[in-house]
Amino acid sequence: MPSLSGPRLAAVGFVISAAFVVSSGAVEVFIDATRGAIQKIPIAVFPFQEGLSLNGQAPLEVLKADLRRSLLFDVADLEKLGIKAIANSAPDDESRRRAGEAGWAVQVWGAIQPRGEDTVMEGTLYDYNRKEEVGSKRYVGSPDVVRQMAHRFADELAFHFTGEQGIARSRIAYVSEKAGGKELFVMDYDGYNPRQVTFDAFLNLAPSWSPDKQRLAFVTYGAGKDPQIHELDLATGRRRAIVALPGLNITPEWAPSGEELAFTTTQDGNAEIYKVDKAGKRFERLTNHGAADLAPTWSPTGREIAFTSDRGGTPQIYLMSADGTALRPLTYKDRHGTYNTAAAWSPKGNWIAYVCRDDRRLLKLCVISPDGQQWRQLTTGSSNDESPSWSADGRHVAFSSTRNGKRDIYMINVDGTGLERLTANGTFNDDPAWSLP
Amino acid sequence: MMIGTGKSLYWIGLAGLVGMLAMGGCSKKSVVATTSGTEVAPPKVESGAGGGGMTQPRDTQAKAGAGGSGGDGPLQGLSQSPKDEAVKGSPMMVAKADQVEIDARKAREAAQKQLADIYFAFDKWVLTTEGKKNLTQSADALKQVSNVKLLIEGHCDERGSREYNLVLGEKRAKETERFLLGLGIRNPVAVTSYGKERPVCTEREESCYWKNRRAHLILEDVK
Repeated sequence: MPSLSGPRLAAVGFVISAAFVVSSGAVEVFIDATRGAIQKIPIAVFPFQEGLSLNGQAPLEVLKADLRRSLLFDVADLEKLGIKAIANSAPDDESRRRAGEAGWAVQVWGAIQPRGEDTVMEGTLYDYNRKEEVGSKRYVGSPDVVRQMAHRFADELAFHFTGEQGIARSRIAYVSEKAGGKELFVMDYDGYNPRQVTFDAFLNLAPSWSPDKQRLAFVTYGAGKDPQIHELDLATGRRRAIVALPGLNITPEWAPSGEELAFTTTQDGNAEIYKVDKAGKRFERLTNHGAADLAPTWSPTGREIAFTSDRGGTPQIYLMSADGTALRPLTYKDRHGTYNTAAAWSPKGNWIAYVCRDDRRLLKLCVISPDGQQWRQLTTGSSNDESPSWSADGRHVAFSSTRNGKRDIYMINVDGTGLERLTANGTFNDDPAWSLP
Repeated sequence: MMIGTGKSLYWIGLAGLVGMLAMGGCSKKSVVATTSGTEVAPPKVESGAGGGGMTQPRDTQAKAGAGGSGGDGPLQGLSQSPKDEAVKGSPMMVAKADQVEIDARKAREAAQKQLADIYFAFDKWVLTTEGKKNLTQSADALKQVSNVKLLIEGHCDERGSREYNLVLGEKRAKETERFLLGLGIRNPVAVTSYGKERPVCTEREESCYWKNRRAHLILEDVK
């Protein structure tokens, strides 16, 4: 086992930085260098020393779930290795040796203690091969942010080994039915800590995160008024209208720069895609066709936009440059089915997820590469699946599904594994939007 | 300060007295009206339910007298040789009904009842033959209330994506609007779409789906 403290990626014989961008004219070709080549890092996570009652917040379980979900780590089953957890103590030499010799050289443990009103969580990364501590972190906060501390430590570990930010601190905004209305909620990426952020008792839809994770753009209906696009600043609670043109104003999507917003309006009589600067002042029309053009999604470079258009008779996914030029189809009726909508471009650039429809008229998720060369159906079964939204690492898709009766929010790995349910509160949950970390 | 308080108390006391008197019965109401010098007309007891056929209380008759030598004035007392006392009915102002508004509302409600939902085929926004037939009837009703604003809402079933359905719903609403305008309605028209966000039913079968693929016509209350 090579050293953990050497150059991050190469040292563990493992490549994760996924997409290399090759620019050829207006078309961005993304080469996925990692597919099939991910070698997970074996990691042993020893029990935490717990110096306080955690009220059901188990940082060890949070951390292990995060590490598994990252798809970067292979988390050891210590019991299977015959390693007994020693309650309330750091792992002893014997435990570390047994794990290390079984191939689990990357070792992690932690401690959680009260300090006055605060809670302190420490996490340590240990390299068994070099017999030394690589580094540690200490987090201090109120007792109700223990899960956040564990998430943060998981992302630190991901960052240490890949140089990427991880996804454990990300959040998912979504729409949930509340007292007959549909309101926006925000939860942690693992479904915990749901918080209601709008209280309009009518219809709020289609949240989109600003890249700085501070603001949500969304569609809001006032009774008897055309739907507008508003922005909610989550730090201040300040809310403002960004787009209030006559007609429907829907499907807002922040550009990766955070400087502008792409959206759909029907002010011209039919649905067209526009951009507007973040002040809500300068509008730029991108499409011009008698059919419906809607639901824009940005490439991670901000140079291209994928969207839905029914200009060919049925809704299909199209691409264009972010200035509206170089418009061309990506999906085709005869090859990809008669109904393809709601594209979501992966932050890694290599995939575009979208809603497809099978021959039973059920909505499914499909993914296609931006060059159209790779394409497959991502979800199966007898449910309606929709509203795909990517994790920042491009390895997971959040979506809504009726697979357990009511519509709820799920995540799935882009290879179709790892289906996980995130909401189960007995109401309608939909329209997930996954933030950056 | 003290004086002010005293004054306040005085007024509160008076108000209280007036209030008590006002609750005390008809004869006392007439006293109040007199002393206050204002035109506080005593409420006419004209209850249809239960009161039908009952004679008015004596007090009511008495207070109805004319001013001066009786009538509205204080009681004169019984007399061995009574003089004429003029008795007038007490005029009472009533809230004036806005017959124009009542008629307008009744017409609007009658027209609203004629406005059937229009249904659409799966994925489609073109009107069906039956849809056109229903809209032709609706247009007749709309022409009776041509000054009333019409809102057309487009809706969809759940088998389209959330985003596209918002647009599809608007296409349905606009197709409906176009057809109605072609039939010569003059009502101001607004269209909107709720996509699949406001279904009338949620069962996952065609018996529900078709009910959600609709254009819903609403006559708006003009304020």
